[in-house]
Amino acid sequence: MALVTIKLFGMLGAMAGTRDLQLELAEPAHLRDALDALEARFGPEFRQRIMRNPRALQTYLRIFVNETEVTDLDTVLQINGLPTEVSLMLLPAAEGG
Amino acid sequence: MVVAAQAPVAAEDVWIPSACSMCYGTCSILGHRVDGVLTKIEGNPESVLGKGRLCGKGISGIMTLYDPHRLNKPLRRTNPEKGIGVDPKWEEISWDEALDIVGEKLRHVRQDDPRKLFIQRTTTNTSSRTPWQVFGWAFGTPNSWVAGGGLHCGNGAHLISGIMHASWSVVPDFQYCNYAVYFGASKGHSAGHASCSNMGMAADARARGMHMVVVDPICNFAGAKATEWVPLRVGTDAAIALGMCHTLVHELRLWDSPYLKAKTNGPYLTGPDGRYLRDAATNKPLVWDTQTKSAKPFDAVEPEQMALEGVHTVSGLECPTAFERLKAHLKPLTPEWGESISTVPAATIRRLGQEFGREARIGSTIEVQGRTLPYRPVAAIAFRGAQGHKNSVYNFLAVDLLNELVGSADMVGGCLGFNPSCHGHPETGRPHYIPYADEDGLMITGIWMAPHLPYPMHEPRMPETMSLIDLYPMTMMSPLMASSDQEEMWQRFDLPYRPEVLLNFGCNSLLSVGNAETVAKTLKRIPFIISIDLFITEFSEFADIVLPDCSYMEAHDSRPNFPFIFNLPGGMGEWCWPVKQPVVEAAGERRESSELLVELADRIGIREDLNEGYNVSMRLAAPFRLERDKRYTYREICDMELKSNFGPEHGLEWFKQHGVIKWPKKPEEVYWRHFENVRVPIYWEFLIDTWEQANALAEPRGWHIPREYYSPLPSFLPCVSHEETSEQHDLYAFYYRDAIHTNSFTMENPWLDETAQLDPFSYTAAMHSEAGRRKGLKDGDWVWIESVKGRRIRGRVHLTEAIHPEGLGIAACAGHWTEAQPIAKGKGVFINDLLEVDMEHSSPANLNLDLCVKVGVTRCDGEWS
Ligand code: SF4
Repeated sequence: MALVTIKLFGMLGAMAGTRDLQLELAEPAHLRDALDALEARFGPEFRQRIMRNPRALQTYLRIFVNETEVTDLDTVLQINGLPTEVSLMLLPAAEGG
Repeated sequence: MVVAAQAPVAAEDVWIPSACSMCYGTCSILGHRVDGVLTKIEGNPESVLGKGRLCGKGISGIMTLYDPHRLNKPLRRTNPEKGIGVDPKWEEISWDEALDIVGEKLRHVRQDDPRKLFIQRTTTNTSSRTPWQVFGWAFGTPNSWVAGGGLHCGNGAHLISGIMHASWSVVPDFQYCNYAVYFGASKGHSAGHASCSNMGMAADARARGMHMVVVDPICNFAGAKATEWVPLRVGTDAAIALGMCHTLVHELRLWDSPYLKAKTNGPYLTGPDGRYLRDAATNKPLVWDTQTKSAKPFDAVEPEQMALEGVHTVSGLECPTAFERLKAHLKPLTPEWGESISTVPAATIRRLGQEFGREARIGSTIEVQGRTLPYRPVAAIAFRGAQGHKNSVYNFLAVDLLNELVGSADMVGGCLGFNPSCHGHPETGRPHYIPYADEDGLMITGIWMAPHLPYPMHEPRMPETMSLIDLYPMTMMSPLMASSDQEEMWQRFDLPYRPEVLLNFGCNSLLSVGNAETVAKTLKRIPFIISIDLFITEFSEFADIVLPDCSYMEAHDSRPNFPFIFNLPGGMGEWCWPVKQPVVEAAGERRESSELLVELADRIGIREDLNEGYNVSMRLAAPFRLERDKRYTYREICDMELKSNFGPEHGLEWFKQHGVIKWPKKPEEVYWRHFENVRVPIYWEFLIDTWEQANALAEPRGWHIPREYYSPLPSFLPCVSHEETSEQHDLYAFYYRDAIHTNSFTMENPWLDETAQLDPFSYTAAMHSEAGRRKGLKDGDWVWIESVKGRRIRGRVHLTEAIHPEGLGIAACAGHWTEAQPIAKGKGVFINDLLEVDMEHSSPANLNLDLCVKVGVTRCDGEWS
């Protein structure tokens, strides 16, 4: 099993009621699997917040895997058994001017 | 014996490089400090931002810094009653007490539901953007807006500039452009983005002989300097632009075929339902391959082999290209049709179309720094005037179609989105951003002012935000934050919470949004309001706590003009990254708001979220990423950003000494479109799905979203004012941005006030002389201006030939009434007080609030005169 640390920042953490959690995912684990696990835990609203449509992430969601920004749902989460941290932050903001 | 008095020798006499914030232009300045006192502000000639020049507002910043009415201590209201003109009965409190109250309120709201925090801030102070965005993300609220320039500002201009030019706005390529048409825009002639820099470049372009046509109901900042002023009926820009497109396509058969094939979705095949025809295996849009005479995915065919025109048979279906649909759409939109809507003679529209096509020199090339590039020295630009209407999206898009047809978008001499491609400083390669393509080949901007990108749009969904932006994905700013029908709309769409705390930074929404009565009602519904500002404003009358902010002369920022798509001149030249630093010590108990937000984050328990937000927002790279659990000052965060971008030797201290860092722009950056494999949509196919999805959510809730606002091709659609039939209300009042004042912020500045009083337009309502004569009015008469809805304001008329006969032009946002700003009080005409703030007066596409209103004008006759 792949052990993945999840960090939920900002709105995602506030709505989930926690900033830190651990997931155990079957190997090979992909980003998609982690998001599925988060949806299973926090309900379909979680997915609705982070997905632009059923196939694509919101453009204002940032996901980092071990501090590297990723956008591909097929990103592999654990390589050579090294610990993996996935952090998610929603950046909703209006702008004008 | 007479002894000559000797002037005391100053112990300190220094010039400090920093950035202006009297408007959002962020020109680079030098502040002259003598013995701790600011004595003069000049432009910084070392910087590209203004190139050593300042406007009158920039020079007058000294009067705002030392204004005796500035806030110096935290205040708490003691009068629980709130309303316009109601004295809050302020009492001074300590910072400790203020922070205890504010921290507790915010902590409570975040635990309950972070969406109940509503943040609003001004755009005037550009440096506030990052700290406030990051605080909002860390807190977890999706509810924010900016209201400095009003709700009419930029909604359509930024959206469409983002989709079509990967930039916040557009300008002519002043160095090479020979023929520019301005639709309701003043770039290079008054205020706005890269204002002083653009003024110099525009002046040089005119001196070089650039022919400039200004299509605008009023002949002021741009029109007065133009080669030709074309007055139109307010809000009808699309009718003229589409008439010009008709002339190009149907009368001249003139377009840039190689450009349209390679850089737009013009060759994409469409099915009977208007959607793209897609490849069954890859889902990619199909084009017609003229060599094999078959449909293929767009990226499997060389552009020159694609069919741009025609209807092609695919699997038994008749499939026009997107360009063929555009041609058919333009067929009835003749100059004569344009005249019937805009009042501009058909012959003029036709001539402008012909001149634009001829001057584009389609097919020509030019060498720039050893690169041979397409040369298209024509630009059609638009800004707030054209897009500040119910038809915001199409008015702007129709203008941009002119650039797309002749291939001048982001080409040498053409219409530039400014600086959307940056390859970074030569030593670090940072900052780095380039537009890129999505799966359909359409362009996604490489950088944006907010993470909510203009394209790709999200699918409409049930709203989670006060703004309903979730349902209306083209929206940037929404009137629902302060509209008369917000509660009705929130109930209709089951918004599961209501705002409980409003955190305001420098925004006076009572003046800048719409009629004050409506805005005041929405503010009264919010239980707790905190305002951080330089002055007591009309908005403060509704605040519970007021906190004194530092002015730009007392504050730090590492990115006053970043991203460059907002405030750096376009065209060839240099990249330039300045900083803002205190020129003088902060007086009283003022605190920098960016430092205050760090303190509040700690009190709320969101330090980790805030630090991660800065890592994300500033794209900090190791080893300059913030550690999540460490407390940083905002100055330290600025230092990290500068080192992350420019190397460890270029931290905040280096910048404070040197002011700016510069490096040359490359043709591949400035004329990026020629080099990058991206396309833009001349046919907005994606709107078909957007409307179906949005309306499917809305209809069951008794709300209809009109389909005509979501057609893939632009049309003229009327404003509410165009459909008013009352004979007493015979003029279109509209507002424009004054060059002397920045929204409502600068009216307390005595130098600017004096200048505005000398100016015949700043504080008056401009009316055509003939209309004035018909009404028996003389220049300078006091009048009542009344809307169809019965809203009434007072002002003085200025009779002039320099306005469309149906227009009434008023500079916004004047009309202060607070005693706390004695210089501003009573000055100018409060046009926003005529504007309804509701869905009826907002665009069903991007919720842009309409800035024009049909009015009647009568003399005050002794009541006030
Ligand atoms: S244009 Fe704006 S930023 Fe530049 S000097 Fe004038 S007020 Fe300051």
